Amino acid sequence: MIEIKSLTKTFDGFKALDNLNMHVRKGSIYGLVGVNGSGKTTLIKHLTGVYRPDSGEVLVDGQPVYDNVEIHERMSYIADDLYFFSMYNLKGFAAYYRKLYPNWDQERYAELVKQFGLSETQKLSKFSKGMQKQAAFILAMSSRPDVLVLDEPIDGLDPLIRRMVIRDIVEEVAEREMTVLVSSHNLKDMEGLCDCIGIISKGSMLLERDLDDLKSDVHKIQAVFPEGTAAPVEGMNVLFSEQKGSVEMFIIRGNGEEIENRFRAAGPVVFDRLPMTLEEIFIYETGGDRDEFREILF
Amino acid sequence: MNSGKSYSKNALISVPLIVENLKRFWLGSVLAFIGYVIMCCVPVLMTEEEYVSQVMETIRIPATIWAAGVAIVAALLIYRYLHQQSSAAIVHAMPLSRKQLFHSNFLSGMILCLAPVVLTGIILMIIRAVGGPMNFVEFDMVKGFVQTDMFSYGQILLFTGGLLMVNITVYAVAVLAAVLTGTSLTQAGVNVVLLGVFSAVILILIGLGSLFLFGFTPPESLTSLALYLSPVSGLLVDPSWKALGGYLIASVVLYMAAYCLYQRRKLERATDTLAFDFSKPIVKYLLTFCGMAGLGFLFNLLAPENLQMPMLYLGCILGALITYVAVEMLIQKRFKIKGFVRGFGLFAIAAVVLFAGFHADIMGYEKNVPDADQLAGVEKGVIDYSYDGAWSEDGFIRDEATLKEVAALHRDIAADREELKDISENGYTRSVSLNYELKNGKHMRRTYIVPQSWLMGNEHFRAMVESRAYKESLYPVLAWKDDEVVVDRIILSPQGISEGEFGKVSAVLSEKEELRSLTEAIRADLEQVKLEDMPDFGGSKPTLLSLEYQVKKPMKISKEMDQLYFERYGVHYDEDCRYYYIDITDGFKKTLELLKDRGLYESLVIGPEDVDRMEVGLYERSPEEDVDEVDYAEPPKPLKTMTLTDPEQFRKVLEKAAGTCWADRYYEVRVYPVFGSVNEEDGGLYLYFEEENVPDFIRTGVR
Repeated sequence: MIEIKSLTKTFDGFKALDNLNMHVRKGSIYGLVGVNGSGKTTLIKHLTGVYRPDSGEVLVDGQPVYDNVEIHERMSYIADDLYFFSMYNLKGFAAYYRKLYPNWDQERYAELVKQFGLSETQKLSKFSKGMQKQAAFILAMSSRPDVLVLDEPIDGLDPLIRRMVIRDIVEEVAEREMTVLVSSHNLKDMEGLCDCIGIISKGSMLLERDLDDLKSDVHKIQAVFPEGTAAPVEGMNVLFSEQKGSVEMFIIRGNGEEIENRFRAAGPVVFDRLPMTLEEIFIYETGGDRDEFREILF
Repeated sequence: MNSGKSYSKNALISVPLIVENLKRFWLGSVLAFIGYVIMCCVPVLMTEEEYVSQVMETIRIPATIWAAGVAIVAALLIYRYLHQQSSAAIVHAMPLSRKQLFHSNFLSGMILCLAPVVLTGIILMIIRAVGGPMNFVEFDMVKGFVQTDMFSYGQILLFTGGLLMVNITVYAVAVLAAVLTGTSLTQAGVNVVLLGVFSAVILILIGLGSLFLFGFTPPESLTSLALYLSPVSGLLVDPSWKALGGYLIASVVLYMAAYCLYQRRKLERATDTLAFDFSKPIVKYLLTFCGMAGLGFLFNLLAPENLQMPMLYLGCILGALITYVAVEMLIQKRFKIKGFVRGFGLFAIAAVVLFAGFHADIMGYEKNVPDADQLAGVEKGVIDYSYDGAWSEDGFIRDEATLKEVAALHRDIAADREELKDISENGYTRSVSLNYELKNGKHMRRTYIVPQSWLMGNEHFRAMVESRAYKESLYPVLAWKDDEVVVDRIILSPQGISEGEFGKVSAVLSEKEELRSLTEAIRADLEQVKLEDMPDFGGSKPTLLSLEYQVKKPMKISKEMDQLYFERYGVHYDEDCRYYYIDITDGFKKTLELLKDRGLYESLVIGPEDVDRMEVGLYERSPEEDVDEVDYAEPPKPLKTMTLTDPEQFRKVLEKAAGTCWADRYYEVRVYPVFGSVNEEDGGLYLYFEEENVPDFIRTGVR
């Protein structure tokens, strides 16, 4: 669906994006994670056709995005730094969007307005930052995009609204196979939302992974063995191990069932396979001691 | 739910965007309209018919400035989205191509600017339709009577068209400025730069030419170009359909340039001072050049005469430094600017080359004097623009012999230029204006300020002034044809005194035969009079009497026209005349003879017998003192004085003294009459001598 090939962008001699590659599957929710200044917003502005690449390609369905009205009609973008015409209210903006976006869904708009409980007649400039984000979300979702690009969408939203937003996105993805790219500077925000994660640092994509693959591949084992019995980890891909008193903890990559069977066969006094958070997976997957990871994880 | 069909991917404009812009900014348009109504419609409604034309001409200035302001504000508002990162991103992420965004925004701004002007034009048309034509009769010496509708539909259309074109051109400039810049503040600045800087550069070059090159007179094409380079001044001085067409073409070019740049503009340059790197040196150096010249000219103007050139250079250095640093700070958005030495060094080298070029006259401007055989003509009024063009449709002297003298005079001025340049040492000066029409169709202009004494000593000046062709340009009586004009009367007045002083009174001649014979005598005298007999040109002879011609151009006129003429000028047509004056010296022998024969001479000219005494004073004025500036509160005190009482001395003084004096050291003779009294303050007759022609009995007699 979205493909970025060897994208490079330089601002006054500073390389903001350096030969960056990215691939987003149709109907997936892609989490773009990176610290402030890593190049997330620059990448998003290329993806939304705002910036022209110095080199490389930004494609949606195989078509370049830059100055492509057809792609823009199928794409909605909620920027981190919102902008509305001064003196406009939600209703006025919706009327404008209705004329611009061919897939505009007035019923969906009415539903979302009701759901978020925003005033249609109050000036958008009088809204709080969180309310403005909601207004932008309503407008974006009502235009029924095939691609939704969200730059730091969670900032300024309270937990209840955040859940509503996530639920709506997930529903749209499930119903219409909408493709979503969502950026954040914190991996925690991506928990439970994304099915694919890309980590960007200093303008380059450090890694890009499916969360399902990651979660099924890395396991956290906690066990206590009788004195004199060693944990059966020989030959296993142990990413991390730690012992606190008699309790040993292992992060192991491999088949979960096989790992469990081998541990149980060694006769542990206590054995637990613990669920892993996204942060933990990334910490152990990537070594966890690199600065760029530390900042997005904590 | 929508059909999902794409709205307008290939369209040139986006109607929804235009509608949205109109919805957003309509209030500005209404305010502009109110301004136009107050400025244009209200004054017309409040003005009497005959002054409507003048009022339309007067309101054109504020209305033009208002129209330019409206266009600049419109572009600032509409293209503001380019100057903020957030708005630039959101607007360009919408399903609108850059092409659509640019054209739609441009069109929206045009509608917002033009609608109020069109409405104003319609209101003026309605006023015209309801009020009917405002007829007005004017008299033109060449065309005769001309009836003009002072408030015609054509005039309203041209007026409205002028405002529309100011709107269009300034808006195109303002949009180009918006695209070139990264902030609204610099957009406004660059706007002013684009509207004025090119004119300013030309005016600066003209100014430098005037300062450095003797006789420099900018070609009309250059001064016109300076005016036309700014649409505001261009359309103010020339509100013609041709000019409107020219600006329309310029607007299209600007529009296309702005569009091309918009397509190439990087949105990440929002909030930068200038959005394109190529524009930085252009803006920087143009402004530095203007700043340099501005402060240089100011210092030059304020400096005492002997320090004018050093102060010019000092002002230029300071002006260039201050402007360069200020502009660089703005562009680089920091106080500590980078690349100062290289950037300013380049400018300094260019400036030094320019000034040295002017100083050394590398183009050979001062030495460039046309040969007589290259000349097709020279514009009349060479000396102090003294020429009345009403009697000739050709404003040029084309006589070959006279042209030879003009060219020779020009050559002499150019040869003596180093001596003539220093005006401070030159005393009383005259302006010599040479506007040549060359045989190759080109024009060449020079204007020199030349000392009177130098001119009087130049044989070619004398030959030029004494030529028949030159005299015709000075004296209409030689130029007009007798079957085209009617001499109504000739009034002869004593010179230099009030009516009745010295017992002298004016004589009015109106008999046909008297007028014919006097005109014949005058013509015969004018053809042979010498430079000395022409006081306006520094002739040394005293003016004996003044002659006033009252003439008119005959033309049949209806009673109705005559009534209109009377209403306009306060006189009936057949009573209206034009007036010409000729100073009569003793060189006008035939004229004086005729007057003596008719017994008029004695009643007009002061003789020794009319004089009671003469008070003589020797005066000196400093070279800096302006000849025309007379301090009446504190008149100058004479260095020496004497009183004359001898009738023979009276005769010599009356014969030799001049009515005016240009020298710095001079003798003033105040003549008191035998009969009647004179006002002690300023009555009587004043005559003058210079050291060269003062009689010995005065030179040696003053104490």
